[in-house]
Amino acid sequence: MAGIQIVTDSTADMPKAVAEAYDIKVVPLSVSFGDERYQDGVDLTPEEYYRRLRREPILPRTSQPAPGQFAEVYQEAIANGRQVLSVHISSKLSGTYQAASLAAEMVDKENIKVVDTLSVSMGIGLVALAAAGHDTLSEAQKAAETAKEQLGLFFLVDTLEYMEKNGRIGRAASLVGSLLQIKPVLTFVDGTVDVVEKVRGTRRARRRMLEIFKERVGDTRIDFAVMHADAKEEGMDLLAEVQDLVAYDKSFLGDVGPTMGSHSGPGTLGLVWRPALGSE
Amino acid sequence: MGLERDFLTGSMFRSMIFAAANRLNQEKEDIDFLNVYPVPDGDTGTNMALTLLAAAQEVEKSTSTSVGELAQAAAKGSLMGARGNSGVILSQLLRGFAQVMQGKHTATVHDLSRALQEASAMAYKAVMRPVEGTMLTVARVAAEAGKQAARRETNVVAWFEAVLRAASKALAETKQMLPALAEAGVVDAGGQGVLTIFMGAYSSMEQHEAPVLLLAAAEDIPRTNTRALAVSEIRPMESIRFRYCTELVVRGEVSLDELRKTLQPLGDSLLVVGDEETAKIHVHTNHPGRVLEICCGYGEMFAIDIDNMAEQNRRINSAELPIDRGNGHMHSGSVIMTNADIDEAQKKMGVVAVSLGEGWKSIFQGLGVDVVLNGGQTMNPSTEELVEAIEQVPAKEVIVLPNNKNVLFAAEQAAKMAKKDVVVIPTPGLAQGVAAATAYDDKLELGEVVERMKSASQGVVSGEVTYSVRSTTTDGVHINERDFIGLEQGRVVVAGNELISTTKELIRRLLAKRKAELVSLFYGKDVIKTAARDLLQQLRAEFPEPEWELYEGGQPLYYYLVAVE
Repeated sequence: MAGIQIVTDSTADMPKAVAEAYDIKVVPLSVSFGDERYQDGVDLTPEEYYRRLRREPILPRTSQPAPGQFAEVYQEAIANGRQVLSVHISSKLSGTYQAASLAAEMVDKENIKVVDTLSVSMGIGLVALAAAGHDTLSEAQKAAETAKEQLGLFFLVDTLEYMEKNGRIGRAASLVGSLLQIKPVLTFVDGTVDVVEKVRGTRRARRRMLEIFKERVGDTRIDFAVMHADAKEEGMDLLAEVQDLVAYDKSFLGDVGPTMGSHSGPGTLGLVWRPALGSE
Repeated sequence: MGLERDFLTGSMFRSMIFAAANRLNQEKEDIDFLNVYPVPDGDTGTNMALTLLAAAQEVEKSTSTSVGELAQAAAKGSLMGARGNSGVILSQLLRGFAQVMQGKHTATVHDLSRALQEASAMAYKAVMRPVEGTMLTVARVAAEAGKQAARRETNVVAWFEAVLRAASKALAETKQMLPALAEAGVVDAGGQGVLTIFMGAYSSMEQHEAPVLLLAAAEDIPRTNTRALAVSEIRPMESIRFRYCTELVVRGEVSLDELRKTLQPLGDSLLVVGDEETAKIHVHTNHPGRVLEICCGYGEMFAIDIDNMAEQNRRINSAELPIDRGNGHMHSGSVIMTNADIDEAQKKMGVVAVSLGEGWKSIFQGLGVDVVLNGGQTMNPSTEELVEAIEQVPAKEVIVLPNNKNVLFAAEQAAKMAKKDVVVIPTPGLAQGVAAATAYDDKLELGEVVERMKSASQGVVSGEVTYSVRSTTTDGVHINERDFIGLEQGRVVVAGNELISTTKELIRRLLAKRKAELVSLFYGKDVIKTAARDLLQQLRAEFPEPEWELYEGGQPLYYYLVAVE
């Protein structure tokens, strides 16, 4: 088999069909409810996960893949004569990148490159997609780095509670103590959560998110993904609104999977974009 | 008596791994409980236990009697079964250990010493930003002790005792190394995990219990009771060699290594952490003055805290003071300086807001307002009070929200008098003030923040419900004495003898003229919560379109304040 093998992890929230179409291998993180342990996206679907999250009192825990899991995937690709580009969740939020880097170093440092996207969810996914379809490792790596630089990501959460409990709340921490319900427009800066703007009211937050998004995108043609955590209807509405608002090539609607979902909580809506490939 | 063992055999190694896995498994919950760094998510013990279990299972599968092959099996098992960051680090410790053991059927203390050093080196390499005061430190100190001990011991059991003793001491010291640990009064969870593994492994080497010395060392390690720890950690007075616990922050051109070297001779428990610009220093010394003099040469000093530990011990021993910190000694103010303390000393900008009542005070504080002045309709703060409030804000740039038309003039006067860059945003009421405070964002430049806050406050239409003290006609509305009156943007628009219907009528008027997205009701001190909730429900039913929020404002005179956005 020719071409570069792109590998990512399940926090990329990449729809299965998309991963298959682009020949992207997804290494699962694990999610545990007490002693029950699941592989994100393998034996735990987002639907099941959110049903349990709402019903059960235990806060699920997530765990990065073991370096060995990455090593197996890398070994297989190398054995098939392929080089590997492995694209992962922000190293500031998870040890996944570290585990992948260790595995790369153990298997074949020269022919396996690992990218820290400093992003989450389909932010990782869009970087992986940009890297797919290249003939040489250095081209794929360059495409990934470019996509990483151009990536835009906004998200809204129903409550800051989940991010706070998991300690991955970044600059939004200052809003937790507020008596008023603040619905911040959130983003990632340097791999950690940051606040774009503080807003009150769910609808106003969503409107502001789209306004700021439009300001940033302007007339650039983009590829984008709308992500939702157990909020399909809202996700579909947002997708339609974004499609009306900007020029785009590809658009995706996806689930925020169990790993990311346990950190942002049900009801999260995300919007991820980068300039459409070849459109600059 | 100790057994004469100059070689570690495969079967010994096998029992060590099993015993360590069992022990870690037994104590995993205690270790989870210690977990405060980097995130208090409490799964370090569980993750390490499951990782070591995977290693032990792989060893169990092997029939080999060679230390090298069994170490390899353990490394492989842990690599596949690694859970969490602590698990990955543990797998790297085992990997480093296995690399040195490769090809060895049995191992001498020299082999073990090299293996432990490689284990530590491999773990450090695996972590992108190694942090001292974690399991890495415990592993490194253990490896260093192993190297020393290998020079004088040939007996592997005696050698291992030396390693265990050093690891135990290093673990106790992690408490001083990370502010998060110091604050919680605990040792590092991952470090405790490493020590537990060592202790488990050690227990299998000797058929009988571990020697008294080791158990005593182990008991020094806090498990679940930080209060008990605080007491046990207090050293008797005569044992205090260095009397003054001295802490400070230096900002300037700082060389951490140089500072460390210069301060080293002055005392013990020295800790210098930070970066090129900021150093946090903690030292126990008999010459705090000399410490300050030295630090002064490196830049500006902040958060200086000098405590007499002997005095503290006297007071603690005579039970005059509650013991609430597990830090070995007490500090009068903040126990350990955090980044927040450093930020506090040099904030860029801050906010003063004038408000009414406790509810509003908390609301403004929650939005990041530094100083909330009580005032408003009937008790306007004086210019002098406003100047004082502005001076209290620990920042050079200060934004003032008067939140009342009658305070505006005094606020502008105060702005001129204060020796700071002050901007007054002319918020006519609390509804506008809260919108402005929500838009406050101290990472922006002053000019831009002020623009955003102004624009946010202008996007609010306010309503107020109060009562009239006399009969009159105002703004074309006839009002009887004791009538409830509703004001829109400060002008009377409705009057009536019933609170609920007057409030509803006011809100109908507010909503008739504009498309509202969010309506917030703030109920005053004379309204009970259940009544306010009832009203909210009725309004929600009548106007399902906007989002509704209800808060306790606690303001006097005004039954309800309404913000329509």
